[in-house]
Amino acid sequence: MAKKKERAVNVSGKPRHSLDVNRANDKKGAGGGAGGGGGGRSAATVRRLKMYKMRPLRDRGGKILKHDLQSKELPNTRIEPDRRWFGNTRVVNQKELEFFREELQSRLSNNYNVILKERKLPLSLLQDHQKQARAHLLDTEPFEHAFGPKGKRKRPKLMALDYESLLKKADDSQGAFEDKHATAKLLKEEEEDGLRDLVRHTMFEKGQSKRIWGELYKVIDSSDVVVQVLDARDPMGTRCYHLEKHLKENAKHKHLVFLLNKCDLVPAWATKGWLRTLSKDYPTLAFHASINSSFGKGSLLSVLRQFARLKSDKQAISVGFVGYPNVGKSSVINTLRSKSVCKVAPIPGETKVWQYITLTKRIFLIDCPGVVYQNNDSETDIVLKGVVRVTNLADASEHIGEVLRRVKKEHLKRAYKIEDWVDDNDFLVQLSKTTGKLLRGGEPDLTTTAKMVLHDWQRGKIPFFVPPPQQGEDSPSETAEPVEKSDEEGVSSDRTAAAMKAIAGIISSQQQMNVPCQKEFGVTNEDSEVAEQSE
Amino acid sequence: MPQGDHIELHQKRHGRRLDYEERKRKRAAREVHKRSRDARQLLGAKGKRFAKKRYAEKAQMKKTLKMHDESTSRQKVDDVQEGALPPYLLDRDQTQRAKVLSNTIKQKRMEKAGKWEVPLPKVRPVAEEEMFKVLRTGKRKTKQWKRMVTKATFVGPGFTRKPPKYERFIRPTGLRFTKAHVTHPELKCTFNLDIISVKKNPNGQMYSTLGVLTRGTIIEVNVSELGLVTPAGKVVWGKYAQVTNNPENDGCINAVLLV
Repeated sequence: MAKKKERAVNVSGKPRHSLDVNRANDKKGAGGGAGGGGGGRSAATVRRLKMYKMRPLRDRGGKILKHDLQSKELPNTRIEPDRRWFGNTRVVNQKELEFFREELQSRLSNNYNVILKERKLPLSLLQDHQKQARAHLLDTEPFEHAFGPKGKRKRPKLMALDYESLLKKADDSQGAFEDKHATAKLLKEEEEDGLRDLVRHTMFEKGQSKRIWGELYKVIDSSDVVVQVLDARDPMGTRCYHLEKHLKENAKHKHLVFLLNKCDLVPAWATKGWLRTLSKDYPTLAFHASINSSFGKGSLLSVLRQFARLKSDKQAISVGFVGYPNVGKSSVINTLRSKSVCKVAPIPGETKVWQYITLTKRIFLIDCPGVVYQNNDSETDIVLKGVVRVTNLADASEHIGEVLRRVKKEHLKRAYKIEDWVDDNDFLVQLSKTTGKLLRGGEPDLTTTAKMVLHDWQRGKIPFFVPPPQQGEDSPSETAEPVEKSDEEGVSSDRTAAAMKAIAGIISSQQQMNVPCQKEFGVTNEDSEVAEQSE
Repeated sequence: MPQGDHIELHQKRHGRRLDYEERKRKRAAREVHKRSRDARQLLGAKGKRFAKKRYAEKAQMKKTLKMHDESTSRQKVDDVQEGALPPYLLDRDQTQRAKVLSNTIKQKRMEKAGKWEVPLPKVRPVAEEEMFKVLRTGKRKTKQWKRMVTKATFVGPGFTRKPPKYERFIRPTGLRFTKAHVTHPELKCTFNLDIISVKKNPNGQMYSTLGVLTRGTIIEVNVSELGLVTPAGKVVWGKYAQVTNNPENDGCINAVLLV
């Protein structure tokens, strides 16, 4: 009689709210009929949806009576005596150990091989510990040399026998240290001048704050595949080596893939060169992020599906997109979804927190704000990489000299209709007069003009790129290498090998595909062809 | 009137004989010869009883003489026996026998079970309120179904967090451990070994699956550095160890290898 009457279950079949158990899991079932039918929800889904509505039970005064997983009840913590606690849990045979060592040695060196179940392998037995190398005292000084009639030990072995040699040894070690650390040398030179640099503005530390790196590590922790998005105009400059080292050391089970975005802003031969160069380290894909006219979307989707097949034991995989600010991570995700699911803007720092996007039922995408690892970049390098917002620059004209140095003259002529200039200041003066950026009294506004040029630089109106390193001799063998790998892996019938073989096939096929580029690069193509012919 | 008092009564009224003392002395002097004759001539049971009585008298005489002698060596004082009982408990034989039997059985069971007992068979229990912290999520912080683990955890290689809509138990990266300081109880030395898995958490099975490391947790460690080999010639690279400290307070894991 005192038992609380349970709420009546919905028996009419029509869903009342989004968490109702009668509501179908997909849209097809909802349209099937008014009386239900179609695919219903599984028991696990129903339990999960009930979990979302969980609240603590309170009494009239507001005190919590019962909260799930928050009880004060003490469990029984007695461990039963058992003989199995004291035995060996994992043993390995000598023959199996030798087999594992040989197989691991051959497979770890390959970029396209993956160890699936690393826990069941005695990896520490296979790797030799370098730091445990012991000092062999008997090799340097045998027993008979120290004791007995043939003893030779007369005086202690010192690092130096007299004062001059000790001083010379100290100078040599100091010189070696200074050669190893060049920055200390630079600092010393600056100190000798009696001048010190101004404290750098905090805007040049964008992407290096604790909050941003916390978001990055959260994304990496939640990702099975990490896609590092690089700017095709400067791939090495927008590469995060610290992240690659961290993944290689601490998270070997996660896969890293390079995505060369904005490949429409560079000529096709440069893209192919960078693809060949970067494919030596990690699988690399070329990409052009656009919802309507993209390039590389099919290849990237195929690679992600192969990774999902690779992790078929898991219910879903997560793909994290990391990289420098303003390289187009959110645009890539919008391209994959074919609609705007992430907010995008042509300025750095638009994405501020991590975002979780559903691509398919088994693939999730994670967007990450842009991260910058601290290195020896100057302020101009930071500005030209697109890390900071140009509108916030106090003195934008001091970076124009580097722009004029990096971009070819004909591109600037075509973009700004200026025939000739003496230096960056003269260029800015002419440009301000042409575009009408004048202050009171007809004086040219150099700051506004410089900001305009930097905006054009960031958005690709001024074409520039870093050429790939020359590898004319190696290119035939490099192109042949992926085919050989795929042929070798074709022998094994394992599903894992099939997935990795498919990934290698996609990447090698994309390298041979025609990369699109803008019409402005026709002249550049001819120039590169002439250069290749001359070489 | 008692019948045996007439001799004393006569001595009281009329006195004793005049040579009473002399006759008594001579009779005591002849006692030695009488005793010697009895020792020689008594036969059968009379002889045995006489010999036994004489032996007891001589032993008591030696003890008395020795007690009065001065001695330089220390002697043990006769103490009370272990099973001695006061007089009012002498009729409790049944109770004593039953108690002894019960103690014997308990001793056997204890020896049998203690052989395979872990160093910490019972530890302080940890309630769910102490183990988990409620995380409020959502735009208005009203969803309260997520729990953050406040103890040290171990996640294996190959671990990736679940999507936020499916992840209920969050294990912070700052509280994750991959190595443990394992002490070998017989060799009395300590190694820094990798953790392979969490076998049993005494607070419950849910914590074992989550990989929570509290005091008393049994973990599996990688003992390939120790160079252990089975009698069959195989290399041992996995063994159990028990956590002996509170990792969430100390910042490291100390364990004892179960050998």
